[in-house]
Amino acid sequence: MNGQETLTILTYCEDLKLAMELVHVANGLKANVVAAVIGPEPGSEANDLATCGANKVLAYQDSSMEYFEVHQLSVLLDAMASKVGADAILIGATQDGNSLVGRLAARLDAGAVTDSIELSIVSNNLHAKRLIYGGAGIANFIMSGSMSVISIQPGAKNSALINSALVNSTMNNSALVNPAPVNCALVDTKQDSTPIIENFIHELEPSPVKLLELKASQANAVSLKDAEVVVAIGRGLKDKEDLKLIEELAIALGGKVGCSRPIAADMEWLPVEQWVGLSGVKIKPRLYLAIGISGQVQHIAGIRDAELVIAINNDADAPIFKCADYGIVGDLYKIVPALLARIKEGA
Amino acid sequence: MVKIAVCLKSALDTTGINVDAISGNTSSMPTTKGLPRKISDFDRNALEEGIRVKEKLGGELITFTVADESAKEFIREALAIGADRGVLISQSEVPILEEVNGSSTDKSETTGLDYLAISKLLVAAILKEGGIDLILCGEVSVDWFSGQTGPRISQLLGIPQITSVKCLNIDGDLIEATKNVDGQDLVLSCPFPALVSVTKAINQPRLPNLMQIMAATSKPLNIWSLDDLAEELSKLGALKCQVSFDSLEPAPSNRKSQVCEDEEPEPAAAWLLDNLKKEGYLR
Repeated sequence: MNGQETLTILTYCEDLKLAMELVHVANGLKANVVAAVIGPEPGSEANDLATCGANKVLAYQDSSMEYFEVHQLSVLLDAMASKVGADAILIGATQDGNSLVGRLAARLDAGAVTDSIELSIVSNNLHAKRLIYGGAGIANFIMSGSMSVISIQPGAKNSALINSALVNSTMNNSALVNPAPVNCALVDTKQDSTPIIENFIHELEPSPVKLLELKASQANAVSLKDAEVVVAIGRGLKDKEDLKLIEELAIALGGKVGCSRPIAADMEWLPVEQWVGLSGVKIKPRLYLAIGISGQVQHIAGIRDAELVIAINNDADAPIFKCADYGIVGDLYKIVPALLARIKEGA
Repeated sequence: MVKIAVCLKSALDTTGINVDAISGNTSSMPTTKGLPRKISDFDRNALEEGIRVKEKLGGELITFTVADESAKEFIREALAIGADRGVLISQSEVPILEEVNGSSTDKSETTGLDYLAISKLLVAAILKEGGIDLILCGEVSVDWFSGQTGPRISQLLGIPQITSVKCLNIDGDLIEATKNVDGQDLVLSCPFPALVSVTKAINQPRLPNLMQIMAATSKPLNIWSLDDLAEELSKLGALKCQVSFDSLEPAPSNRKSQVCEDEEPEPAAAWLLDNLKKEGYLR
């Protein structure tokens, strides 16, 4: 990055909602935004990205592909980046997205940061923030190379700040914001005219990685990712049989059952799909109940985006209470039945 | 016969990091000072899976680690668990980028090798070793959760990768691996040589017994310096870092932290449900 030039940023995510957020983040950096769309029928996604503020959309179509594997994506995005002269590539921080970051960065001999929660430009350098040490701290990185690859978490913040003095003042305010829902409000107004949608042609060699089968995960696994309410249980549970009590509360609140590390990894009372935390799943329910969970940093990092957090624990000094909105110090075997009785009374 | 490489990271054990940082108390900056290191949890799963493949198909298992020489104890541990040989790429002359200290204001302490450089060092050692069929590593490390190293290694070697694998089968020289993406299981296949990164769900790592711990002391542990890898590194381009560490701040929290300490469960339950109604979470 030299002088006061406008950055050109290429964005890509297989998930349309996050792809639109990436365009929004890049626009916040006052960049020239080129959105990549790759798929069997990229037409409508290309239109959506064009209307949400991209300066240009590059659409790669291959109707025979049902799964775009990371290796092929890295080849396509490398070619697109060199075509538009990109200074940085933003990728959605999905599971495959983060694998793509490493592969693409090595291909471009570029520096990379995964799971960034905030981007800014300071003295013409791109800065990226991410959580480290199991969620205990936020590190701020300076991207010093001529090309950077960064994956962005949903709800990331951006700021196009020119000097460091401004950065310091905003940092004091608060570094994290609540995720902005993606909707029409995110449409950025651009001074220049209608964005151009362009078909991107590239001879793609067949991938050495083949998709053999696509199947729904095992029936007993519960997907917590989109759950509105999650009732999670931890080490405070004395017996596997007592899971019924937690399940009953989850049903009463219209939610799903999650757990902390010991329940999934040590006791194996619940499948790992229900393990909430940095090593398990990161969730963003409206309501989260942590029952008998002490609140290790790794667990807290998994519920950072929960709207309201409730804690029930018999240890008044448990760290979970500092990370909860409402907490009850008490025996879960007494509190949970009392809650159930009251909810049933009200219904 | 399969020649297996397992990449092991000497990671910070962050379970003991002070939790005050989470509450947004800016006076308590998270610091890595005094925190112990360990083999990254996910890499233990990679090692376990490698041993299982070796037990089934026969062959050799070699571990690769970029760290200073204090990591020798972890390599000995891996040898006791079941690796045949350990390679330590010694980088005591260049600190790793991740070894940052929040209380440090001296920027010179906070520059070091980033993933670009670490991946190149691992690849150089894997090339020097030669003949590797399968590279296994954890999907992320337990301290930083970046997940860059595996994909970077496979790209630099020009081999296929399958990441976040929860079930691995090998048939001849074909890998069949299952990963879970958004509640769906994807079964993917690719030929050797390839890189597979694993999740914690893939297996339950074994612990070594006393006999194995004693026997590990006679297993070979090679220490390779940057000079030993000069020929391989010359093909991989500069080790120059493209990411530098600027600052560290505690993760803030906006939680209300209201606690009810009523002795009786009924009033406590009523207090909570009233608050949930007030906030609009319950009817």
